[in-house]
Amino acid sequence: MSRSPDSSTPAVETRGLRRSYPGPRGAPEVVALAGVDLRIERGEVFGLLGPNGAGKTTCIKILNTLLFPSGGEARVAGFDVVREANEVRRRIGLVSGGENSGYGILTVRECLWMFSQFYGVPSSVAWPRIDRLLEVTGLTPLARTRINRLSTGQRQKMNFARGFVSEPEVLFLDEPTLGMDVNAARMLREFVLSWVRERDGRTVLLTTHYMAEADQMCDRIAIVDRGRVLASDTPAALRRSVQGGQHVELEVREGGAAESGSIQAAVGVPVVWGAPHPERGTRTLKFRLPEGGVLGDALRALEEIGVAVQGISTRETSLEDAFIHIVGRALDDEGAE
Amino acid sequence: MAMTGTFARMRTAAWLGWQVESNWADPVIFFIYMIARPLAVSLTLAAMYAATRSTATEGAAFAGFYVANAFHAYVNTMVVGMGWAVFEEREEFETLKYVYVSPMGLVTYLAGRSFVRFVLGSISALLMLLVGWFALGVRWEWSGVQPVFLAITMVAGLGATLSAGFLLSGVAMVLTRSAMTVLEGTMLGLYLMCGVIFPVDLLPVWLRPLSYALPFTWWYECIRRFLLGRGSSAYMNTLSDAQLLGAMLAVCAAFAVLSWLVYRAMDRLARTLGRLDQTTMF
Amino acid sequence: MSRAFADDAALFLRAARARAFVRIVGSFREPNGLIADAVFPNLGMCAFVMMYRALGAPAYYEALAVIGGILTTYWVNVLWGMGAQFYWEKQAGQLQLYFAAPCSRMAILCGMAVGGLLASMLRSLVGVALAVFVFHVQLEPFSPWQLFAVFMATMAALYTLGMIMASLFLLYGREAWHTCNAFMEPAFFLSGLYFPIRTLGAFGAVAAAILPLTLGVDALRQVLLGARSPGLMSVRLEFLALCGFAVLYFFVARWSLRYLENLSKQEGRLTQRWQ
Repeated sequence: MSRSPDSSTPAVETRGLRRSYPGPRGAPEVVALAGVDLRIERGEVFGLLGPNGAGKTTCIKILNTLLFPSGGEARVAGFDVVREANEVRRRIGLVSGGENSGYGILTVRECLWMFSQFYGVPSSVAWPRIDRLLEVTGLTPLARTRINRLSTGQRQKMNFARGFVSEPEVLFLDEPTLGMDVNAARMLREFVLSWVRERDGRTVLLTTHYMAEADQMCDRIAIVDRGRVLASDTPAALRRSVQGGQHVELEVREGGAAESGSIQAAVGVPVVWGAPHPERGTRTLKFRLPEGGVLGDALRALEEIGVAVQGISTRETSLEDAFIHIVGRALDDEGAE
Repeated sequence: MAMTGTFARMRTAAWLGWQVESNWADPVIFFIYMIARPLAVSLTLAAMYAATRSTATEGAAFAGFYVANAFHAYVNTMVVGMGWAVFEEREEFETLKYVYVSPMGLVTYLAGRSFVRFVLGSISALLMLLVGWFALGVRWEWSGVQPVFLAITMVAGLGATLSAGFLLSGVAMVLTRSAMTVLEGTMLGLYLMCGVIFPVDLLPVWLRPLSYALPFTWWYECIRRFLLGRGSSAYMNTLSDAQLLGAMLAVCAAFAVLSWLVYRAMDRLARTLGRLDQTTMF
Repeated sequence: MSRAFADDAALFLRAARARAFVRIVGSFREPNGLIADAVFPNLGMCAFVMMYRALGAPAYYEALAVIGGILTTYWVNVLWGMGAQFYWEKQAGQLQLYFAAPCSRMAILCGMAVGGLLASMLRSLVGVALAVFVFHVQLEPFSPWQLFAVFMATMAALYTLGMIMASLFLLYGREAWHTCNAFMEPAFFLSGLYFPIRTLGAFGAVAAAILPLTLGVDALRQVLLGARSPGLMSVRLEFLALCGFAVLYFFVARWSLRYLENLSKQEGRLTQRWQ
């Protein structure tokens, strides 16, 4: 029995959401979520941004009724995910990047139809919707191809389309563009945005590793790390929170004797290593000079400890800067769990 | 040096095989699983025999069927196990491609994994023979046993089993999810075609050449002859001991060569079809 | 009938139909699998028939082994197509999509059962063909309605038992796999698939009280072979017991699914692969 949704309730709301797993053989328990508070309004595209092991997928699993929380409360479309799981399921869709959904023996079109049936969509409604989704995802020529013959990217597109066949009120996209090429990912991002804008009250909760994706798509972003929400705001507001000062990127020669610690001490602010440039034998070093800081002083200090600077650039604050500022390390840092 | 390396890799594969077979299961369930299946087959045969004892005219043949069925455990565990390893590595763990491209290679890996299956097969066979001896009265005269011929029979038979394992592993490489059905089905096919629990003379005339081309038909007949002192096939009973053993060795050798050729052909076909990393998703 | 009930019923039927579709289409799109599936299992049955022939047993024993052999088709499907299917779904990452969908899990399992039942028909038809044309099994005159009723009751009991087994895979992985495996030959023995269950004496009666396969095969033999196959109980009683099993197992499966789903969500094992 489906109850009417109350449109005044938030699309997603969590209060003190906790989840822990028993540690292996007597080790202390592993805390995946340590009290997460979220409020996502209807019609929003909301991003969860955090390094590996931050608790994003655990949070998505709980909101999708696949996992019980250890404590706290979570509601989706106004329904409790533990006590009213069936009501929640009628209103949600889930796309997890990199997963293999469906049966290899079915064609793409049949597979999407099968999933529409699990949501009770009448076939007369499902088929035209599926054809439209195949068109959007560029899979129309492969509609009658068995899915075990699809490439990883094509399979991922089909998986993406699957999330929309039931026209969910709240759609969870867990790393949805993983494995897709740049063009396909851009096209699908645009589709998600138009899907939300064209339909009243549809909500998307997105987790992603791609800063640009989060920046482009999300109305608001929560930055999570070690099971906690460290900040939650619009991308612009998050960027503003670290404005002031100067973002500096130096290209320094690899193989210098200086350690990260001593470099940090010399510059006086946290530093982050960027990508290496093996062809030039250099590597990027990033830091933010606080307001009033003098770049020349920092360069001299680096020279004194033997860091050879090959190039200098300064730029605007990005979401990545905000992330580093809030979390204390970059998204792809090994230090992240 | 190269041999030491190969041995070390086989040991690793055997260790992994044991982990896969045993460690992930509750020990009690694994123990029951190990014992329940062979025991149930023994008891089924015994019940069939018991049901017909008062009316059957050839009851004495039962011991030969029972003993051959015990040794068929090797074929069941080793042959299916090796094919299953290919299937499982590809479809479930998605690691077949990594094993395939590793220096260890698939052949060494499968040989290593077959060792664990050999141990499990030995336990099954022994258990069935013990149940037969102590509970069902399936016994033999120790003085009538021909140890040298029996030892040669065992070595050749196990070699044929290993060859069949490679053959089916090759087939499993090419097939998709249906490999599972084909593996189980082949076992049942061998059960019928090799006359495990009946003399192959009962097969239709047109099927007998195929039966004689299979090494296990000869293996089981040799076991019956050299352990129990009495074979079951009227045709094979016309052969002397040496002739029977010679025929078995020839068929086993031919089968080993054929299996290896099929394995290599299937290996190439799997690469041509791109099956080594393809999951069926069904 | 309320609107909500009609909606729920429609959702159940749509989900069951979609899942059955996969099973049926899957069988026909892999011809090598279809042939292997239809032919190979019957070879085992042929071996047992041959053993009776080798022992010089009366032809009646061959007939009862053939009937048992045909029923193994369904038992194998229950074990691997129903019980272990959730294991594959979990490994493929598919299970979580079922559990995030609003349809009932029982709808998915019913779809799997119906699909599996239809897909197994071909295999059993090959068995029937072997019985008629190769082994020349002599049947007594029988009522087709009685045969249909007993067969359907047996299937209902077997497949609802399969649903209970499937629920185990929500929590367990390899252990449940081994359990399924361990149910193969022992069930053949305890059900007397290849010999008269009365051979087991009181032990056979106990088996019949546990395994619906035992009652099913016994009832079918009584219907098809008449007085040559004295049963454990009358066909009517065995039919009623099978119906009872089906109802009981259905509710146990429903409870078990709910209980184990909750437990696995608590322990975080519902979506855990490579257990």
